[in-house]
Parts: sequence; structure tokens; C-alpha cells
Amino acid sequence: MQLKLRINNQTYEVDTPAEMPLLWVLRDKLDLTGTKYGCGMAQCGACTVLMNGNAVRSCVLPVASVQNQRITTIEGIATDGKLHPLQEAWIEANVPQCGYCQAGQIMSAVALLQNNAKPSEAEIKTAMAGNICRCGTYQRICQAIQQAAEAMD
Amino acid sequence: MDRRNFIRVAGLAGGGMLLSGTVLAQPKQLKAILGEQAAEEIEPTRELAYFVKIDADNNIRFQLTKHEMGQGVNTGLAMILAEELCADWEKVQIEFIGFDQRFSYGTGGSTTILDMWQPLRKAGATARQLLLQTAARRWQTDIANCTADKSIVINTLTKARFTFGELAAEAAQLPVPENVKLLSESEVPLKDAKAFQLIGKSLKNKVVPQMVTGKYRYSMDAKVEGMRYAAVARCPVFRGKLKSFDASAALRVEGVEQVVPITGIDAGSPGFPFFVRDGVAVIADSTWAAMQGKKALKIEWEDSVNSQYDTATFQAHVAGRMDGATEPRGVIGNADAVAAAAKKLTADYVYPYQAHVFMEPLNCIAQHRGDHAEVWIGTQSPVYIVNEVEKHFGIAKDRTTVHLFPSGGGFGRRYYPDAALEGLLVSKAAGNIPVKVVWSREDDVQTSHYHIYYHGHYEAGLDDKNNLIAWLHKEARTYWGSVEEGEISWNGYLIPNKRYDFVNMQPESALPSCAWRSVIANGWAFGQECFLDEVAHAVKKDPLQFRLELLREDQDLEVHHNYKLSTHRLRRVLQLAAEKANWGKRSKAGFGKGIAVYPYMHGNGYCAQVAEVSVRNGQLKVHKVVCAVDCGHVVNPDLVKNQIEGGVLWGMSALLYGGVEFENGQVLNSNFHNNRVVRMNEVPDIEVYFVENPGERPWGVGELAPPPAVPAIANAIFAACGVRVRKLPVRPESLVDH
Repeated sequence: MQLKLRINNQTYEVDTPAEMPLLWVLRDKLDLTGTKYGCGMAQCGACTVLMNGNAVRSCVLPVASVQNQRITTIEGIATDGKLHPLQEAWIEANVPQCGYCQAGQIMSAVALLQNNAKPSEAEIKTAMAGNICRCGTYQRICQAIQQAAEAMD
Repeated sequence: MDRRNFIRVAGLAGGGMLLSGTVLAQPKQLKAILGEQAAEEIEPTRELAYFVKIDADNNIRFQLTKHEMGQGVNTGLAMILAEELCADWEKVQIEFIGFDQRFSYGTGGSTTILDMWQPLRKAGATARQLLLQTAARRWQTDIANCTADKSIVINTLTKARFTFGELAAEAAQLPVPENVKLLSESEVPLKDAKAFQLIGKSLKNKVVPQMVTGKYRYSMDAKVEGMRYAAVARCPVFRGKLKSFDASAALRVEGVEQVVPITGIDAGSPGFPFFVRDGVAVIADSTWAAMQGKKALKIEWEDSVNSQYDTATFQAHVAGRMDGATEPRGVIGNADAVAAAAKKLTADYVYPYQAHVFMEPLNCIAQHRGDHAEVWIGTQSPVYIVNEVEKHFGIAKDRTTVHLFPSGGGFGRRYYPDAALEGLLVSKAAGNIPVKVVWSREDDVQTSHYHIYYHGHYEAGLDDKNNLIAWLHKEARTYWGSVEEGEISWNGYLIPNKRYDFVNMQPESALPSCAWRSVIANGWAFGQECFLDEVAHAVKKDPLQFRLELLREDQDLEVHHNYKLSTHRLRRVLQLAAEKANWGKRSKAGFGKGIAVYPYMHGNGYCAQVAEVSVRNGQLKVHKVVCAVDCGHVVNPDLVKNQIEGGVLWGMSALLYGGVEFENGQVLNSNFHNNRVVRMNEVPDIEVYFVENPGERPWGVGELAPPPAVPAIANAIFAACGVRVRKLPVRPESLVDH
């Protein structure tokens, strides 16, 4: 099926089965590999992207359903070469260990701060509970989100 | 001539210097971890190596020859080198390079920093000396008038300066001082620790900017010209066989191109085996199509001996094997002291099979090309891959190319070549094409290798004054089946009689076992530190006081390892953790604190933890874990803290949710909804404190925190509500009335 996709303010034309999850279109067809596969059933959050500003799990999103929606991936949140405040905060707080879950973590955090500019620690933990980090960097993720929220104030 | 620890310099095309060297990894160290035979087979006399390029433009490229899997070794190692070199840290870049067959890149056992500390310091200092010599010659001045700082050499008399980049090519022509090559002697002074500008600072991990922008490439992200994608249906029972399969439905799935069977491999060595299972591979034009094709396969498998087991019957089987009489492997004092004691306590502890479930499922790209092979993979040991490829495919070691990637978690699992061997089997079956084999999360949970199943039986003997005078630890475990005469578990308490017995369950393991972060230390720490608490409780002593009394003298105990077990170091971390956690302060109703301490001998590090939990209305909450760490000289405090924090959560996940369940030999868990790990909303406050170790060298930290975390929290649960956890995971129903 021929599809037009709007990703990071660019238009892509792909030929792919309609039910292929967006995750695999991004990774295998468009070489946007920043978005990761972790579980395939929306349990771990590694595949998180934004659709019209909302955090969604791309591993369970059939690509046909996102035609003409505004998709943002980790590759698209820096603007004009300037990092997003969350990316800066992640670096400042030395958050990642292996790094594999972190694109998904950051995308979930982008959505959180768009909906709630000054989340409490409890609100952060609830909002981010869908993103698993096996290396255990949760404390730092929380800290980085709080730092970024301050910076974006 | 001493071949060890050679330092070399050479010119680079385009100007600049290549600084390189080799270090013979202490064979005794590797043997202590892997056993003699395995160590010889896996990493026979392979040297560790380092490569550093000082470019003409004054940038420095630190080429990583170890596996980066989240420990931050890329930055820790570069810091050590940059310190002695007197480099500008901002100019240091990390380069991921391919596998140079001459050397070992093996990464594991919490040994990277401690192995490379001295060699990198010597190398950096040597290069610095050569740069100073070159500048001195150009200025026609005494080398004493030249100093190096932040990648610049300054003439202290004239204030003239050269950058390292301007000097490097010429410096590369100078002879390395003969006696610098030997580790034991040097004309090249190393910095005093007080003069460190980089080491000891929490410098930022150099690869993080790539990670947060999606640019950091794992093997999961790699692509190769002409590559196809493969999903493998693996035999669901360990040691089972493929009987027959029907690929007709799979071949009708859009994108599927081929379906090929593969025959498994029994690999590794007797003491250190690993396995590739029989399977059916679906080859397709995308990962998704391969996965969908795999779902449409109809497969018949032949049972194996392991088909008889479910979780409970295997547990009973192991317990039954524990019942037999055994001779001790290691004894201190009198082997029969427990039997003869006035009073006895006994308890059994089980730390069951665990899945690694790192976030990047196993994957590789592999191409079998007949007389040579190529693999793209994130691996903790490329040399293990080339050795096993030679053994099982007959391809000479130097005809296997391994392209290296950092990984989304190793934790011991990525040490094994099974994913690479399987990839080559699939490639060969598919006609020698490059295939990317992606393990689904279900594959990863259900058909992987697992943490040791551990059953520890403990007996304590007390005299008539309630002194703990005898300790028996009998262990059955499903991995590292060869235990040498004299080996003893890492019990550092001054108990006059200790005995360690071992029952090898490796040949009868229902699931294949392998290294899982901290390996044998997990079961050992859980059983020892919880049972010790039971003894303390029985004699009505505070758990901390009880431990300190048993560590009252400074002794270095022989535990049949490279390193001695130090009571002093155990005591210090205990006291620091207790102090920072306010141990003496009484907890509120429903709350409790627990303490545990354990060394990780392979890395020669020590860690004590105090956990505080509450159990109210049957709900367990872990509020805080205070960690005291003795890892010698701390190279990068924040990177170490990250490891310790993560290690606590690793242990906590095993305690709360871990344990792979199986039925008819098939693993029942399948994904994160039923193989849970701790999530953001359950995280306790974790505090990390370091013991000061002036003048000490760095020790390992990667596997230091998981072992004591489990008993610290389990002991806290007992303090909070009187429930003893003797088997993981904690059963919520056991807390219901509390």
C-alpha cells in the first residue's frame, strides 16, 4: 500500500503493508532507527513517538492509521541544530547507561511537559511508568525532567 | 624479554601519533571467574589492547577495545588515559572500532577498569613524556622547562607553546624508553593522586549526546547491502529437537521469501557450555514480515528430558538432590562442627532462574560465505565468537570478521556466541545471504539462557553461650558446575568453623543457564545475609551489631580466589551504610530496616546496603536504599553511582518480580507484562556513599550492588512485618495479613 507519512516535518512516501506497525516502517523502511523495539506490545515504551503531540507506542500503531498525522520522533525534537531542553537535561544529569530505552523515555517526557509544564515528582513517576529502563536510571530520568521543566519555565 | 605491557608509538598518515599497547590479562583472574579449562578455551593468552590517536589537529581519539553496554567504560577508560597524557578532556573523542583479532576485547566480571588502570596510566604518561621531549628539542631547552597541560606543551621560561597535535608526528619517531615497556619499572613518572584533574571527577559520559539524539547505533540498527530479515522459531524446550514443520502458511505472508530449518549446537566447554536450539527460520524483506511469517508456522517438536519439568517439580528435584550426603569442597576449622554444636539452626534459600530482559533483544547480522564469515553484533566477547565459529563451522579464526557495536545491555548474556552462531546457521541455510536475525521479546524471555537456579542450604551451630561457632553452606546450582577443591563461598565473618559443599546441577538443568549480572554472588549473598539475620534474631542481637562482632578483627581471609576477603573492608562499608541510614533510629509501625553486606570478589569491591520498607495492608513498598561502596579509587563518582543505583534496582526486580516459570519444560513468562521489572513509579530513594581509599587503585563496580540489595530488602521485610522471604520472588499473598 502506498502511503504518505508526515514525520519530523518532512513528507515520506512508502510502500508497505497497511498493518505494519509504524515502528517497523520507521526502522526498516525509513532508516529512522532512533525509535527502538523493546517488546512489541506497548509494555516497555522504547518505541514511543509523538502523534500530533501525544505520546503513542509505535509498535502497536498500524502505519495506515497514521497517514496525514503529524509524527515526531527522537530525530525531530532538536530544532535548527539546537537540542531540546530535555536532551540537554539528560546530558547534564548523566542519565543513560546503555541508552537503548532513552529515546522512548525522552519522547514520553516531551509529551508530559507539553501537557503539564510543572509536574510534581509523583506526576512524573505516574506519567513515565510506561517506560521501562532495565539499567535502572529512573532516579536520573526524574531529575532530568524536573531540571528541564525549570529550564523551560 | 618481557612481552607484557608493551607500549608502542607510531606515526599516523596525515600527521599525528598512534599510541598503542598490550596488557596480558591476568590469567589467574579469568580462571577464578570461568574455571581453568573455560578460561583457556575462551581467551587463551590473549592480550588486552588499547589504541589512542593524537591527531595533527590536536584532537584525541580513544578507540574503545572493550564492550560498552551501559557501564560507561568508554569514558572511564578514556579519563585514565587523558589524565596522565595531560590532555584537554574536551578534545577527547570516543571511537568505536572493529575487532582486531590479535587481542581480547572480552568484557565482564567487573574487571575492565581494574585491568586497564595501570597500563593506560603508563601509556598516557609515556606519550606525555615523548611530547615533552619533542618540544624541548625544538626549543633547544631542558625538558625540565617544559610542562604539559590540556593538550598543550608550555615553555615555562619563554611562555612559548606547542599543541600536542603539532608535536605528535615527530614525537612518534622517538624511541619509547626501554624500561617503560615493563610494568614493574618506569622512568616515566605517574601523577600523584592529589594532582589528578580528571580522575575522581564526575565527568559526563561521552556517548550520551549520541544516545539522546537517536544517533547511537546498536547492532539492532545496523543495515548491510542485500540484507534480509529473519525471525526464528526456536524449540521451546531445552534440548528438544525439531521433528517437522509446515511452512505453507508462512510462505503466503506478504514479504516472506524463505523458510529454513536449523539444527542446534551444543557449544562451549563442559564447565561453561552454551547452546543454540533447533529452530525454523523465516526469511523476509522486513522484520515485521519475518515475525508475521513465524506466527504462521506449524511446527512439531520432539520432547526432551526437560519436558518432564515444571517450576515446582524442578524445585523438588533440586531439593531432593540436596538431600544426599556430600563431601565438603572447602573447610575452615572442623568440617563436622555444626553437627557437634550445642544448638543448631537451619534454613533453605532459593534464588530461581531469572531472565536478563535487557532492553535491546538479542540480534545480529550474519553472513556465512563458505570459507569465511562476517557478523555484525553487540558482544561482550568477539574472540569467543571467532573461536566457536572455527569449532562449529570450520572457518579459520582470522577468516571471521566481527563488526562491533555497543549494546542495549549485556549483563553477562552477551558474552555468549550463540546468537552469532545461530545467525550463521540461518545465513548458510538461506543460501549464504546476509541475514539480520531479530529475537522478539517473547523469544528472549522464553528461549534464552537464564540466571543460575540456586538452592542454598544453611546450617548454623551455636555454643551454649549462643556464640556462632560453625557455619555450613551447601549449594546446588545449575551453572559453573566445576568447583575446585578448596573453594569456599565468600563468607567474611570470623566464624571458627566453616564448610562449603557443592552439588552440581548443571547437567540436569531444566533451562540452559549462563552468566547473569553478579552470577554466583546473587544466591550466595541472599542466603548468607538472610540466614545470618535469622541467627541474629534467634540470639536476640541487632543484625548490625551481630555482624560487627563477627568482623571485630582485621583479617584477610583465604577464599580460594585471586584476592583475599577483607574483614576490615566489610566492616567499613557496614558502618558507613548504617551511619548514613540512621540504623539505630526505630522505625514506625509497619516500617522496617534491613542490612546486608557482600563483596564481589572478581572486581574486589565491597558493598553494604540498608533498605527501608513498609508493609501495610498487605502492600510492600521499598522506600529507601542506602549503599556504602568500597571500590578503591573512584575514577568517576557519578558513573559509579549510576551503576550502583541500577544494580540495586536489578536486585529489587529479582526480589519482587523475578523468577522464570515453566510447564512441561516450556517457559510460561513471555513479555514485560508477566516477566515484570521495577518501573519508575516503584523506585525507592537510592543514596550512594563511598568509603575513602587514599592511595588505592580502582576496583570493579558493575556487579557489586545486585547481591546485597536482595537480602537488605528481604531483611527489611522481616523487620517490618515478621515475614521471612526464603525464596524469590516475594509472594504478595504472604504479606496479606500484614
